[in-house]
Amino acid sequence: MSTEFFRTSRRAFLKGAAALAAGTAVGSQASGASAASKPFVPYSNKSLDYYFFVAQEEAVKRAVEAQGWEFQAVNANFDNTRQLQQWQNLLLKNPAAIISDPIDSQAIASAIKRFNKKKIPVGIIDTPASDGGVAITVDFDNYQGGAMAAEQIIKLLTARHGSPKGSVLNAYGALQSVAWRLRKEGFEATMQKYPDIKLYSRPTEGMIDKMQSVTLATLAEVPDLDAVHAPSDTPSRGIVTALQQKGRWKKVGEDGHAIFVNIDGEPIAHQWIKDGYMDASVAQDPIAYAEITVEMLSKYAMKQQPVPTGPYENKKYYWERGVITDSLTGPSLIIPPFVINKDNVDDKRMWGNIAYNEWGLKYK
Amino acid sequence: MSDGASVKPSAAASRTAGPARSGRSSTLQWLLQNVVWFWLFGLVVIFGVFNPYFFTINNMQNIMVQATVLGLLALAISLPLLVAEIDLSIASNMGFSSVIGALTLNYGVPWWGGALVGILAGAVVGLFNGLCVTRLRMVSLIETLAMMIILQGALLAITEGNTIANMPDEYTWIGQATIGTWPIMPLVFVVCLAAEAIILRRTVLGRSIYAVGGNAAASTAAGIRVDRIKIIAFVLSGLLAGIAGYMLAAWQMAITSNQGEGFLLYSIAAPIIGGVSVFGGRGSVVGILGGVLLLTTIQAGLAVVSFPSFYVPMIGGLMIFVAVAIDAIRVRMSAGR
Repeated sequence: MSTEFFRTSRRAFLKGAAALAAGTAVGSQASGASAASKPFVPYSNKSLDYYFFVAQEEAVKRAVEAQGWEFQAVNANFDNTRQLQQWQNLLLKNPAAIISDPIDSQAIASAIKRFNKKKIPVGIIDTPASDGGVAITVDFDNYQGGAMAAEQIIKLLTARHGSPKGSVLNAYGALQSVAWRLRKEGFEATMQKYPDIKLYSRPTEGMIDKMQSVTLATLAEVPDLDAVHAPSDTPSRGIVTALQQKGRWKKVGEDGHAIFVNIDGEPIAHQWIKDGYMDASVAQDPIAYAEITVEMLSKYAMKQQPVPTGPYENKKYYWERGVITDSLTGPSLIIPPFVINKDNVDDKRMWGNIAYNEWGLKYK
Repeated sequence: MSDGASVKPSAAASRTAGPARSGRSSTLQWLLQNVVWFWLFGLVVIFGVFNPYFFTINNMQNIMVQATVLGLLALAISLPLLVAEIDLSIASNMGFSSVIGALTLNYGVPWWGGALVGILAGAVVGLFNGLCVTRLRMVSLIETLAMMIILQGALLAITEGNTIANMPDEYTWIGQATIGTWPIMPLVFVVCLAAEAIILRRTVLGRSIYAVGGNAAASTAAGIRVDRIKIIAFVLSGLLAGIAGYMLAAWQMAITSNQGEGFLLYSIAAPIIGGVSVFGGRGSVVGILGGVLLLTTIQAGLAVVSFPSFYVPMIGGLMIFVAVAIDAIRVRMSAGR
């Protein structure tokens, strides 16, 4: 390439830079006008790698836009530092409020405090913060979710053997995840109350391939394994493949059926339950997280009023009732976990049914 | 050493400046060596078009803070690269050393002692890597990959999946303090940047680093103790990783059980984009600074423009790809001259 190229490029570059600078001035004015007309409420997501998080982001987007606010989502992809940096970047846009699903309860506190200094309301969903001032937290008791999944399996083992005994695989997820760690702890603490249940607690990092290999290895070691549990539905497809490969993908009531109970209540779990292969899924409600957070921000926090504590009731949601309490960071609504089984799987209020059937968020 | 300069085997230990420049060739050389800054300027303008806040002082401060940890890691990883090695454990070392430092605070060690212990822990890991690569002749790519996994596992084991957040205010002061509205933390990066620049440009050690990376055999023949230079490069690299770990912990006011893992690829990309050769012997801190600012600008810019979040990582990756492609053209044209 000759130096003529660079002379031409330099001229072209300078022309382009001038054009962009002119565009910047126009763009700045346009953006400024737009920002002035609509409150800007961004959402900081922890990941888009799982259906649950995709549905949750969609729910926040719909709820924010339904208020006539400007929406933007950023995705930290499970990188805690990146999430803190994204919060810092969003602060520069002077948002009216921010909503986030934090990756880490404690690490997010420093970011929340920066928003507190500017008196920008913070709404936290799914994973509670451990410090800082949060206008409203709407989340799920992951420990209780794990305990409830264990109770479901114990009930089914009792029905199968006449007493709570048998062998159970807990294909637990990455311990770096606060939610998965708490689910593991809740599940195991409940199981340990029953000495006749042999628990195989094995790490899978929450990845499909590891769930598959761990399940295959456990089935090789314990061919008559009674039950399998995963802390999330999406990666448990690996468990399903392993059960199919070992001839254990049987319907409830069939000989060789492996009791299968998960957490999250995704549409794929609905399908497995409807088809008769899965016994139950302990559900949380990401749509309610988003809608209630936006509701509280709109009614109270963005008017500089505290969110009132006390009973919360809304028949729009399957769980219908909860209580807003005072937590370390401010008002908090912990939505009670509930069990999805063949009796209620078609209820239209289930988040999986809304996301999949009404919104058309299909599994890719 | 001039920007992007290299040391050829025949002049390994003696050259301190790039080739003589004259006329059109020097203009071309200058353009080639500074392309990262043009790319950076273009991105700033583009992001500014999409979002007026991008041109504010606040955003400049924000980018400087965010560039600090990545910059320190980029400086760290550039040293093994300059001696024709690589250290994949840098980002994990950052997380590991910071937790070591924080834990010592539980034993009555003052905050500065904890910070020092953490930084030294990073240097010790670097020393171990250097010894493995030079004395045991382990391939640095594999040895540091193993070390990365060990350190990640150690961090998880030490924290048991929990986040360490009970650090005293003095310990996290440097990550929060400002002079007026200007954060102090970036000064640490600037000091380290200047220190590395002085070492590389003004000292025998710096010349030896370039020489070893340019041609180890020729360096040996010239009397340079190659293994010692490589060990020093790894130790300094670990030291910088330790400083980066302390800075990140101070800024976040927390140490998570996977602290720093997300930095690895970016910390390798930054110096390479800035002109540090993966084959050793070529690169400068000015180029590293350009690479760091470019990557930080891409990340900060994409966060404040309203792209659909599904596409942001892809767009970020494409921008990095373009930056690397431009750099490759630069290298090719430089070589062809």
